Amino acid sequence: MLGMFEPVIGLEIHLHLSTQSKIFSSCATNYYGSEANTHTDPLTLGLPGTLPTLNAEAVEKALMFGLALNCEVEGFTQFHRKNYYYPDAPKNYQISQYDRPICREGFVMVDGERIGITRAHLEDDAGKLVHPGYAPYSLLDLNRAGMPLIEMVTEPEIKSAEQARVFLGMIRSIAQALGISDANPEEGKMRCDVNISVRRPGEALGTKVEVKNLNSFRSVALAIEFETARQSKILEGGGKITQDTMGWDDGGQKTYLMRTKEGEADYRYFPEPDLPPLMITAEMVAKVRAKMPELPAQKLERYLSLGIKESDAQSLSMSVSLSRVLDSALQGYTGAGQNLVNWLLGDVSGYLAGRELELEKSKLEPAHLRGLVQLIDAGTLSGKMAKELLLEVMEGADPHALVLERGLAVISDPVVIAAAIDEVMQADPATVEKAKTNPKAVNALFGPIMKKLGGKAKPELVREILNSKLEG
Amino acid sequence: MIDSSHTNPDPINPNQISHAQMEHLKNLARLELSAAETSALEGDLNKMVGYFQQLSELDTTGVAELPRPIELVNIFRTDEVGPMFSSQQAMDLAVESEDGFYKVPRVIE
Repeated sequence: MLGMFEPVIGLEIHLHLSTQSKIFSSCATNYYGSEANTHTDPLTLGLPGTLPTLNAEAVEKALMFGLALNCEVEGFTQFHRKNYYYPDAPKNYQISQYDRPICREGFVMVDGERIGITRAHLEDDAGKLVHPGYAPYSLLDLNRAGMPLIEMVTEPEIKSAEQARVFLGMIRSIAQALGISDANPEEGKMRCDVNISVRRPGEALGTKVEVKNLNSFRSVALAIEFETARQSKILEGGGKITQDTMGWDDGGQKTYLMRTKEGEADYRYFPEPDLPPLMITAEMVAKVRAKMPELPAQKLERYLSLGIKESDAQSLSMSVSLSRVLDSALQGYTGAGQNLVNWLLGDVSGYLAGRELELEKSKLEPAHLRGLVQLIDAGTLSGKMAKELLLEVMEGADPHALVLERGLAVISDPVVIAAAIDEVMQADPATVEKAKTNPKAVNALFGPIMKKLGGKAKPELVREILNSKLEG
Repeated sequence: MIDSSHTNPDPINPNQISHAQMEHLKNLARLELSAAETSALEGDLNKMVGYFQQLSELDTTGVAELPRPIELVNIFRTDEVGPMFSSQQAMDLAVESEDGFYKVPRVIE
């Protein structure tokens, strides 16, 4: 009975902080897509005699992230050397944090459940190794070396693959809302390791296994499901779990043994002598807090208070780009916010999805979206006309200008509508007779009438006049 | 310089660092040492450990933490981009290179 076991999950998430320069040197961080080793300087290459200098912006972003995760950030914090020999680290150590991380003991609420954050600390990233199939050597690109990373570690309080996925989505949206990281897994700017053990409900924690190399939220969920089943099966058969480090094989959708875990002592951590420690003061924290933009949870509450549907409010609050457009479109809009939301999540999103475009890269002006919806609210445009105009509005056109320029406006003159109705009725007396007794036959008249009016008439008004004519 | 004549076992507490631990440390530090060098280092390390044990006998209750001997805190650099190496400059420093990459011993986990 595998169902008897429940997984206990902790996550370690690495985020690249979006600074201009690297964490300990003035080397630029915008290496993505650049030639190998062109975003390097003496410090990045670990040349003798170089000294690290701490990037103020990386510290500020770490503090902001910590505050968003309800962490303790005030007080003493310092860097440590984590020593290991591997070609991706030319210094032969990583500058990380050990016993005194910058962020401590926070939490995040996930669907009403509290997930504890053990810590978040600053460190530098390593270079990237490639292993060409043709050669007995590896190739090293140090552009990534020295990138500012924040690593956050959760308590083992996540209970399912689905909860892990939701949690990751929340961390990404918090990081993006704060502007501290692009948190883009595809570019390696958000990476995740999973610690997972299984136990029978009520039992003490079991032996955990670490799964590395997870570069998408989907892989995280799949790896958790795979490991839960694998470990449950071993325990069920009377076996024991060994504390291993596993890799994730995305192709085969399974975990594989990478190595038996080194002890922490093997890294021979010691306080980094080249960097003075930090004393984070209440004033520094207050300054960072004052700069903090609205968080997803606060956005969600604001949207709900505007009467926006909960499922819509959820997706809007998690997306920086959608909420930015919505908030800007809401400025000076007096109708129901949901009207704007319906267009944004409906036709606008459909337009973008169909063209694989991102909202930020489209030419849509939030004021134009507002204008379009206001034209519908005012009865100037029908929904159908607005949908047609949207194609141009998405290309940057102002809907008011389009309406004026083309003389577009809903036909709301009863005389014009009545004339069209009369024409259609005269042309098809048989259907008219049917329609007088059978309400379903009315549609056979309605269609041609709308067509005659070029789809520009208000459908309710057409129905109203048509019905009164059929009755009369 | 490693003084290979110096093989005196630690006077305070011999065998604090075992031979097996010594081999493990050599591996972590990627050091290739002769038997004589290893044994000399083992002696030196044991002396150091003994010294730290002596220090830890001090009662430090109520003594404030001194993380660094120099009282410097909060030294920051403004987030500005400075000069960087060109591919050529970066490769000029390499023992071996290929297509702008450093060539390193094959490592695959």
